[in-house]
Amino acid sequence: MNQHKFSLSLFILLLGVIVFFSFQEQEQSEVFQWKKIIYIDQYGSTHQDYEKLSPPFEVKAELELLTNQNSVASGLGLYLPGEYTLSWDGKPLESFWASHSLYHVLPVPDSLLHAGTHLVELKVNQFSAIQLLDYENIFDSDYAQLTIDSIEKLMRKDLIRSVYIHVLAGIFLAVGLYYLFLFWFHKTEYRFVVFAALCFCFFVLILAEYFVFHQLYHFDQHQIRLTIIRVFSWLAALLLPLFFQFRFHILPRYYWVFILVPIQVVLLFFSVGFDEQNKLLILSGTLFSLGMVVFALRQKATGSTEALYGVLAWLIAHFFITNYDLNLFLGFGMLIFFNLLSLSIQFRKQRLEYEQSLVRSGRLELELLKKNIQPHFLMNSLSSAVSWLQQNPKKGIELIIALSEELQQLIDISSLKKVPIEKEIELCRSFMRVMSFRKEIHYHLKVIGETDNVEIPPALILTLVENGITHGAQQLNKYVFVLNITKKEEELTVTLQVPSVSQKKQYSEGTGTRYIKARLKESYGINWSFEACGDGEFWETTIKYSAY
Amino acid sequence: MNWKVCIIEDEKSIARYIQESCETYFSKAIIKHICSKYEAEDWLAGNEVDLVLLDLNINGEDGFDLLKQFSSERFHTIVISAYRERAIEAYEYGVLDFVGKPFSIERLHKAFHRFTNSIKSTHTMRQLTIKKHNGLHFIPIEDIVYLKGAGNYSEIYTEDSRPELHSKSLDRLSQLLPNQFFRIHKSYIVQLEMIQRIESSVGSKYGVILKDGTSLPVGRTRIDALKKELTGSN
Repeated sequence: MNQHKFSLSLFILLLGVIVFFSFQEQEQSEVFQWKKIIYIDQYGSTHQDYEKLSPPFEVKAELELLTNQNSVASGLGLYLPGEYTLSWDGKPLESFWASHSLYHVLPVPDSLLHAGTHLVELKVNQFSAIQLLDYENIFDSDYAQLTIDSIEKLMRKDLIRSVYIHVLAGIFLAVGLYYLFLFWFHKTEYRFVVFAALCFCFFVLILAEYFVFHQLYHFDQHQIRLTIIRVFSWLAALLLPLFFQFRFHILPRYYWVFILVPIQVVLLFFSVGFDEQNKLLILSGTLFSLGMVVFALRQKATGSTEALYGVLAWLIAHFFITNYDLNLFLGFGMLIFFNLLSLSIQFRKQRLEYEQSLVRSGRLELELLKKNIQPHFLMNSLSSAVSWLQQNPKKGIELIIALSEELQQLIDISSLKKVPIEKEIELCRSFMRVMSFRKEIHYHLKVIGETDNVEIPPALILTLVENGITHGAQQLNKYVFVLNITKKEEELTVTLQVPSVSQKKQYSEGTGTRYIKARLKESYGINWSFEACGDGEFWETTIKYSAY
Repeated sequence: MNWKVCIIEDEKSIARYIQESCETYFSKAIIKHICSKYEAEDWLAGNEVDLVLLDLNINGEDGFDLLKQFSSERFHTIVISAYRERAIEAYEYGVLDFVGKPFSIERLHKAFHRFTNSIKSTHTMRQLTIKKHNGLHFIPIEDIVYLKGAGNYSEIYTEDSRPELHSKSLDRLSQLLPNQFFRIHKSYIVQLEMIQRIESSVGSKYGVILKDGTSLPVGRTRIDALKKELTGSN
């Protein structure tokens, strides 16, 4: 089979893509951490720490430029949830955008961008202490990093990245819709709806993450955006293991939630930084999924190799690509990619199984005919007819008539999947009549319970009756078989009690019981049961199945 | 002769039919009807019979293990069964005849005729079943060098082991053995390809020397047929 080679080569190809992106990243603009920060509050006193000063306040810091910036029209890029003015070596810089914007690009004259130490002063008039950004000191974190590059690059790079990433968002949306529709028509396939939800989660995450690059919203609304991102990240981190749970039918259902969620809460508690926390959430969900996929792989579940590649690709992307957004979405893209592959492999297998079930159904019909109109049964019955004709022609004729009736009834029902239980009983009685002649024992079938609107796969009870006669007691010249039918809401219970030979208590699987089980499986999937037990005097077989 | 016949058949009407045809064929037969496997085992362990008429499917149970056992016994077995496709297999264990169901009285009488007139079985056995204290043993036909009659028993001589005792008389075995076995003497049956040469001695007495050096006597009435058989087969 080339399927595994195919998946493996795709995996290697995607690893190439990851490495490519990780190199691309290195060509990014220079970023600077604030150094020697001094805070001056509204009363003019200086502080070493930020300590959640209330605006207006000032921030003074130093920046170390290692090289001269030779590019034309350079500038500073800064993300900060507040309204401020920034001056560079004492010269105020003007932003292109509205003062309340989260992101600012501030052009700096080339003459000021020489190598060496520079003084940056920030006069903050309004500031939004965003809850989710629970840094001790926002200016010390990478959140408020200063980016220095050409104005053109500063203005365009995020837009360019947004364009490509929105292509990915479109894919997530389309795949999500596709799986939602699949679920709509296969209501029992929960993995479809979970996968759809997972795709939508990432679609929303991308929109929310990249909203900042094209919409210059007020910094006060930053909190809303971050909340959305946090909620959907967490949701994705939970949906992923949920998906694998439905996908592979492994692990006791839902119990993993009680392990994963506490772990995530602890992780959130002990980590700092918004992106860092999101990363931990997603990473914990992914690692958990990895465990599930490895488990599925050990059980040799179909498509588990591809699922493993998907999760691995994500993890590798995670460690190779340092940019938070990129590694998340690219990684998830790969996961989706491999899951599509894995799902299509599973789909193919299911289609094959379905086709086989059609063949099986045809074979069952044949088997039914073969089993009952088999030459041995006919030959033995004819043999009996010959002896009767010799000894008592009238009885011989009766036997032949009974035999032909039984065969006719059998032919009538053989192509059906289910028959009314009255028909089945009629067939059993015809068969018993034939056997009464052959064994010279009077067999009688007593039916207890309601037979109206009760259906059963063909020749199930007949098979039990047959077994009961061939293996049953023969000492007396009359035996009564008791058929009990009870209908309880959705479940039908059919019990046949036959007199048995006292020695035999062990139940052994013959062609008869195999036929019964195959029929039940064909008609009721897993919603049936078959039990047989004997107490020496009677042999009792109970079949339970869904009434509809 | 007062043949003792046992009918093993689970359907009464058929058993009656067989019994009637037995009675018409054997004028003075003693007939016993048994309708279950366990009863058959019990009864046959304690009673001497000459012929068993066996149905291969008794109350849904495979009669082949009975057949295997029977092939080691002294009596002949005729199978009467609807499982015609298993006839060859039955013959290989050493049954005298296989009558497929449904059958006519004439067909059954033909089988009886084979029994009473010592006519060879149409298909021959592939192995001899020997009953030992630790169960049944099977000797492939090709391994047998010769068989020696010892009253109601036969001794089976093979190349590599000590002689084994079989419950069937040499007469009965000769009906079941394939054509490569030749009755050289009233007490000896030899596998033809084991013979090295024919030896004649004084007083027009003949004998054969086998490949392993054993020397066996040849009956005066059988020497010509043996010579013909040997030249024909060489």
